[in-house]
Amino acid sequence: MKEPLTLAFPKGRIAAPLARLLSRPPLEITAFSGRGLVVDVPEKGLRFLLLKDFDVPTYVQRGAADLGIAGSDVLAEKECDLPRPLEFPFGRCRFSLLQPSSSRDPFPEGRAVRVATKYVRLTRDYFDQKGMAADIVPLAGSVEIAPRMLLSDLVADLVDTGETMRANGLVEVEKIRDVSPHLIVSRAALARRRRDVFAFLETLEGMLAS
Amino acid sequence: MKRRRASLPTGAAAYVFEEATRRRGAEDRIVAGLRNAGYQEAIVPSADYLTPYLPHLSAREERELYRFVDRHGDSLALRADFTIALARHLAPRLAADGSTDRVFYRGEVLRGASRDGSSTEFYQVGAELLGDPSPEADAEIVERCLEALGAASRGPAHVVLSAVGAIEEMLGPEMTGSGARDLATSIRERRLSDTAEAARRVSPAFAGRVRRLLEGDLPADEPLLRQVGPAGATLSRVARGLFGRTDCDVAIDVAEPVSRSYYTGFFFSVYGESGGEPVAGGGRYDALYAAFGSPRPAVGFALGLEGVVGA
Repeated sequence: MKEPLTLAFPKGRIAAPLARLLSRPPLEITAFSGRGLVVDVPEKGLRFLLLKDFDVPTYVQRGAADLGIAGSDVLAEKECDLPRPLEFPFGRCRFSLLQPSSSRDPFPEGRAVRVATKYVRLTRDYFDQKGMAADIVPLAGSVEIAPRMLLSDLVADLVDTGETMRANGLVEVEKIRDVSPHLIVSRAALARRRRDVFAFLETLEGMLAS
Repeated sequence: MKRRRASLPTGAAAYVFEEATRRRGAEDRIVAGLRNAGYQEAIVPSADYLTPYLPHLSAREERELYRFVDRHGDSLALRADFTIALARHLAPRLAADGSTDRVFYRGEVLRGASRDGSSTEFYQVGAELLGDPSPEADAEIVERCLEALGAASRGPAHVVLSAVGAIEEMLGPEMTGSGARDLATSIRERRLSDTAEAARRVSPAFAGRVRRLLEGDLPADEPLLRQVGPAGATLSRVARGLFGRTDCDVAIDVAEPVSRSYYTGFFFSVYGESGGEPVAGGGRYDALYAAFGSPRPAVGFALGLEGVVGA
């Protein structure tokens, strides 16, 4: 029997709209509700690996998955240069610099501004381009509370509706970049299974167009 | 008491016992095959002055270098690639009559800035054919590469053939200049919707061509290959030579990205049955020897034993 085409599926913020898309015909995949991290759909010749968002590029880059879905934020942070044939119309947001709503000028005099973020590379690049020194505080999550706990002056994070930002007393200083989810493909999978990959891409392309 | 550190730096590996024997055995078989085919060994230093290499490196390749300053204050780099080192050390010793030379090499290369803990140290074996600009020379190098892979591992090889700048050439005459460059970038990134939209603005037939370039797998008698010059002839020649083989499959995919910036025409990647990166690759670099004072066409390949023996 033919090996299934393996997709790295992010469990983060775009999991729900992505699952909704995949549940539509002709794929009609509805197997994402259990606790298993490997979901086989043999009748469609597909296998899904449910992963942390930041791990998706690694799985695809190293050939453990043939395809994957990842945000442009994650792809840029991981310097992932894999082909990205499709962009999804949902889950779009922005990567922004945030400051406490109470602070008038978050850029301190006499020392580098301290910025808490999950995106160390993107944040460093942003401040490099501005020609400003920044002291990056790498965090794995809940970055919004960092200024309140005096861990940082600013936060660099994703903003979608802005609810989390406002609930934590932050306001947007500047948008750094737009963010959207993309389908990425392993070059090795293209070499090994070109027809299968493009047949799947055409199916997905049709679903996005309908 | 000082704690003993058992871990290795990211991307480094050590091999002992049977694993070391297996790797050396594979290397010996590859080397025996190359010697039988008339290739002579060349040995180049593992560290060298930095400046002769810099003009031949992309920004990314330069970032990958392990550099250091020696006790005399000179900037040095550890070997990150054999081809440039060979050109630097071989060019002054080549005969002025432009004769054909066949050389091979083996040894470690070190490339830093690894993503996700992937290897930084590779054991490469490779071969170069100097002085022959013909598609037959390109075909010989691909053949030597597949022989070497066959000597080191089991399992089929997936060969992808491409050429530097081929997409831009194939988009003409309908699209040229910056428009062609932008669309070529989108094709290399396989962006389905962006490319379709840009190509439809030209004509439905052009949109069909763009889609075929994006999907890869052009036939060996593809008329568009005639627009790519000598590299197009090589793509046809090599693909025809490989069709029908049982140890590999082949695709002409001009959207495959070039792996080293010194390639000037035809290049290829070989993928194994597992892993995400090519296990071998090669191509033509006709400008490199001229830069070291001995103009001469050249084509070569290299494989990394880690990917081949571990596959």
